[in-house]
Amino acid sequence: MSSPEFKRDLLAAMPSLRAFAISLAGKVDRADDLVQETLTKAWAHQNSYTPGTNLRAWLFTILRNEFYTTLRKRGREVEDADGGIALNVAVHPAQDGHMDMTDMKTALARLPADQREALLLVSASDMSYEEAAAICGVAVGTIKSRVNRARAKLADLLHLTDASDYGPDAGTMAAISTPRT
Amino acid sequence: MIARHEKPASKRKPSARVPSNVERSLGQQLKTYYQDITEQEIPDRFLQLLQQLDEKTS
Repeated sequence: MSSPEFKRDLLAAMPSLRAFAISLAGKVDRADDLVQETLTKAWAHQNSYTPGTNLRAWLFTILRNEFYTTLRKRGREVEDADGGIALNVAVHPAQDGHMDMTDMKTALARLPADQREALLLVSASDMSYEEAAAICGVAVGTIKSRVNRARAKLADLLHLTDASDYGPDAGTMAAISTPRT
Repeated sequence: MIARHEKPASKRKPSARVPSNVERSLGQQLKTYYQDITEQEIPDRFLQLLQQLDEKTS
């Protein structure tokens, strides 16, 4: 793949790469450092990327390795069980967004990192379980189990646990409902 | 470049699935949350970085 094509594809993948970074790391400035490092490494190693394969998955793999390397260097301060990470996340609410984004940010930040990344890859980034497993370097069953646990915990944190509260259009209802007071 | 991060199997708890309507609702909320981030403008620093990398190699 020539550099112009590679550059074009990197640009195209950037929004979803950045969304993954922000959701994974919590803080936008830390996420953007991760994206910068990922782009630099991806460029340096572009010969190891096989054209035609999933570039996004390849980039996500680099980014998450960077994330964990940084996490280990920084130690436990990054993992903030009280949701302190979420308070620092600067994400603009959607123009017409009735949903309370702060709730989702806070809830995501309270998941263990391994569950958070599994859920983000499968439910938000549209990766298959197989792709998510390859990115995280674990078995498909491990990803499924992490996604299930992440969903259960998120549902609990967002008070979605009572199935009787939701009809067949639960998703639509949740999306259009007004924020809790 | 590839690192492995996995808890030993002994530390994993069995996981129950949430009801499918809750799963759908969560999925939609996650997508809305995510889409909001992906619609943000790409910061200039990344466009500049790609430009610099491109110039260095060409």
